[in-house]
Amino acid sequence: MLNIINLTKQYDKTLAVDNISFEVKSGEIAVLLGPNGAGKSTTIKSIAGLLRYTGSIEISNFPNKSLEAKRLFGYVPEVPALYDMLTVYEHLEFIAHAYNVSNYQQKAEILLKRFELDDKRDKLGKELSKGMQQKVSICCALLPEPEVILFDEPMIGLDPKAIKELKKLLLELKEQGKTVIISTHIIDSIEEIWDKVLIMNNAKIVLVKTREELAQEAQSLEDIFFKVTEG
Amino acid sequence: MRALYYLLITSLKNTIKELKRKPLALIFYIVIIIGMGFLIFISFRKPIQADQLKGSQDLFTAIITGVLLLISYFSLKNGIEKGSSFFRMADVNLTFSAPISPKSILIYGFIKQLVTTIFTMVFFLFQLPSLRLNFGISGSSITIILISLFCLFVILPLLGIIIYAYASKSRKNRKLSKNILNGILFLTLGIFLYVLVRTQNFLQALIIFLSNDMLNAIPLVGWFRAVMVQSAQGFNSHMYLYISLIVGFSLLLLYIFGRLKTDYYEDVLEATEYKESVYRAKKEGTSIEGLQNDKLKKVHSRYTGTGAKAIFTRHMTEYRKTGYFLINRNTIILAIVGLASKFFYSGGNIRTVLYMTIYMLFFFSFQGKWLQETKKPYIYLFPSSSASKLFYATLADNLKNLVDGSFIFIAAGVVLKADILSILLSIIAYTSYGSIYIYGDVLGRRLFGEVHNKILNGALSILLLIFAIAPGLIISIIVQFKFVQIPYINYYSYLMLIGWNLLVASIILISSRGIFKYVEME
Repeated sequence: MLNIINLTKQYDKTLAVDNISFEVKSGEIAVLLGPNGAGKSTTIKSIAGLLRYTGSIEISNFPNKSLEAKRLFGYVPEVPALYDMLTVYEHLEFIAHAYNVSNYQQKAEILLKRFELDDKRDKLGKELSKGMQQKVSICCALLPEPEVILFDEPMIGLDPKAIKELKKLLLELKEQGKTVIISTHIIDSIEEIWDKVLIMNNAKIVLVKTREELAQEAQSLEDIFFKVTEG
Repeated sequence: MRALYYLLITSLKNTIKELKRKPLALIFYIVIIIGMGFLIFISFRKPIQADQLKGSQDLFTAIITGVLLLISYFSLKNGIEKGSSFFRMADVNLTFSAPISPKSILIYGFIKQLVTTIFTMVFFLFQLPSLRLNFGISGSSITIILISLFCLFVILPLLGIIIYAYASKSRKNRKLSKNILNGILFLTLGIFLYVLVRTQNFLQALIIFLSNDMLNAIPLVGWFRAVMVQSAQGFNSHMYLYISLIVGFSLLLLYIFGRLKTDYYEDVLEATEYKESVYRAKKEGTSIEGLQNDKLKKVHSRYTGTGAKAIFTRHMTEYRKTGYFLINRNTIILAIVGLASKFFYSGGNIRTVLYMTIYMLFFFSFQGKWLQETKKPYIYLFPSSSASKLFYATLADNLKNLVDGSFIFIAAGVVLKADILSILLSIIAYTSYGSIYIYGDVLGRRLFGEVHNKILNGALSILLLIFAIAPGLIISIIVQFKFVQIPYINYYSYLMLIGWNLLVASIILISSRGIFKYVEME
């Protein structure tokens, strides 16, 4: 479960996130939707503990920067950040040791096969295409089997098969009771999987709706997005 | 062509406008210009007396030749391996696909290259007062030297593209080109070693070798050398011959370039992508180590623990891939430059080597594992305590400094016949400086992390480091020279230096142990 209260992030004179609050429950896929520069990535980075901010962020009732919280969440960055001198498999080996993942070899094999990386296991990080790097990045985040997973624009760079596989995986995570939050500006990419939408514009959350609420209003996600972001 | 002209002018206008928004950068450029103007004014105002000149004509020739050979070697090496590129990725994406003739785009590239060259020349302008004061070079000679350097900087990239076009055609061509260049390098070093063996004096051998007039025969580089050296002695017919050769050769290169391949886009594409990666790495302050296509050794990770210790194991795995137990190319460079520094200072000893290597280590520390680690999200995410992350993320750098120090000072100790205690103390002092550079950066992040202006942040961090280092260095030097009569004072001054550095590094390490609770990823 993820709980955010009065989150604000300011870069010098720029207010990137303006006093936002929301909650994402276990077994829920929340989508942070918004135009470029709305504050989505800053929100995700703040939740991941990469930025300083004011307000409160709790992951399964632990402050996000505590060790307990760090054990519980995984993060897929917007731009894959791999080590140039490590092979694909060495990345997973490294993460497994850093998170003290038991029986990681088997889990790593499953992830590598699933994302069609098993024949690339000995390739160096710098030798991979952007899409491949993104796949490795996703595998690294999923290897410790986190309870809360933060995805920042996860579909960018992925081929259609990998996108299909990722969507399938997201639904599986939901069924397992994990909390998933995805930041994106491409509405089509999450149309089939979302449970809750949080639309951001100009650093604020301007709309929160569940799939059921939207269905009752007989509106599409695209319609409501343009309505609230363009007035 | 009108579109390209627009691009050039608009880029220039926007660069100037950008300076208005970044006053610190503007101040930096103004200080550079005033400083340079002042240096040139002072050096040319004062008449030079022949008896005041410190440098000989041979030394002047040797310096010119050395600089030209180094510039040319690296430019040709780059040409064979990656090609040269006048372009940025935006040019490739927007102009190469536009309905503009490739020749117009090439002219545009040349103009851009000229602008870059002008900025590179600023570095050489700073050397003018030194040339004038030490060698009595006249204003007209200096003008010729600068024009020659400018032309060389323009011609070398063109030669680089031609070599690349040939080398990139097949593996065999690339290997042959590499072998020829390496052959020339080894031949040059072989001749130098022969002179060194005969003279038994490094500096003297270097001057004799580099001031030999036979080097004028080397195409292009030798001709430029002849023009520059001759300009200091006065004009003669030989000079015109060499200028004609340069002009002829340049025209030949242009002709070859025009005929070689009209479709040069593919050739510059890879080079531009590489160049773009270097710019990105520079902007992000990361190492370009990973960008280099050097072969990495196949080694297996040896994880012996979990949590933050995995960071240390990963660093060690990376070092093992690029070198031999922490000894890599940087170690060799530090050792060579450190040892060479002894020959440039009369009375140079193992301390001279120490001062030179700690100066260089400051710049090398920017390539350290700690700095690279902070650019990636993982260290902020791992469920380990902040103190253990800080300790393990800096451990490999500290160990490397210890190993590098041992390598450098054992070698220096043998060559300079230093006593064992001095060698040992130099190793520890070198390592302690390494620590202070690492933990100085940690403190900088802790104190100035909220300053998002990169220039201001960098300047503040360097100032902080100077304040951290200076007291130890000043105390050590004062003690060494003030109390010269005290037995073993040399060792005491070493101990003071080490003691101060370790004290400061430890205080920073302890006080910054919670750093990951406060800092944010850049």
